[in-house]
Amino acid sequence: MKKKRKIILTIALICSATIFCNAQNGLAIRDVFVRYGRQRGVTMVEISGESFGGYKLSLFKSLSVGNNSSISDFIRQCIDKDRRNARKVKEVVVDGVVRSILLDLPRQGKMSRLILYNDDSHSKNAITLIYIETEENGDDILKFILKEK
Amino acid sequence: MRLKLKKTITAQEADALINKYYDGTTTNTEEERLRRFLRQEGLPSKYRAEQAIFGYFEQQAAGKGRAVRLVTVCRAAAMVAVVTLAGAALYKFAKPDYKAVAYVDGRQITDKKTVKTLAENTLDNVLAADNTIEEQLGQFAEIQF
Repeated sequence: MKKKRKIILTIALICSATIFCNAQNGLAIRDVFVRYGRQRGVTMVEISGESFGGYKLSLFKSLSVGNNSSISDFIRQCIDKDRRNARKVKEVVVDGVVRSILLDLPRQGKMSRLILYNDDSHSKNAITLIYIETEENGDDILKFILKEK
Repeated sequence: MRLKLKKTITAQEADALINKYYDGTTTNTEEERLRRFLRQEGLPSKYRAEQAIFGYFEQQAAGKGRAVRLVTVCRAAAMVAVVTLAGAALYKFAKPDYKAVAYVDGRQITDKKTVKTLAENTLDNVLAADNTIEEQLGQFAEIQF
């Protein structure tokens, strides 16, 4: 009987765990934060429920690192996987090299999701990856992001 | 070690127990003995009625067993549902609305102001470079077509 109860509770906990999957799960860039987020030379930021420029972001997650080709290659591979489902893709290529990418992903429930990537070899934090989730309109957030300087 | 063999009762003992059964004075042990006797094959036809009666009661007991199993399954399913819902509710209400953490060179920073500044700097990195398209479009704005 005790064994039966343990099995039932285990099943219940597994069911609960599957409910707690958030919008970021299922995205390839999640692996970037997991793999490189706490490494030396990397800055990773995670903020939820904060406002930027009057827009409330449910989740802001970013990763910045100096010039590192293996990290930038891995990030681009992940972005290539995630861009397949993107609603909008904006890409800037300079001298044959991808310098920045912006993906506007399909909404998940109430959440708009954006991925921004920048590779600037002249900058100290050459490689930047940002993931944003917000209940605000994704186009409004994009306008805010692109207008700011 | 002595093995205790369960002996079935004789026909005479069975007849006596049957009479007691109809009088409603048999104990559980006596009924069990009688049941065991009636399960035997090759019994005279005079026991057919009692075999039918005890067979019916055994079917009812089996049915009760099935009902008990169904109740157990339902109880288990209800427990799973309650735990799942409780967990989901706890997650929804206990989950903090605000969270700020940063890792710099693997070192954790939880000061809200510092974390927000780091986030804004990161955003600036992207914004500074993401105006290429706007700059290119801006060039056309100056051309007098």
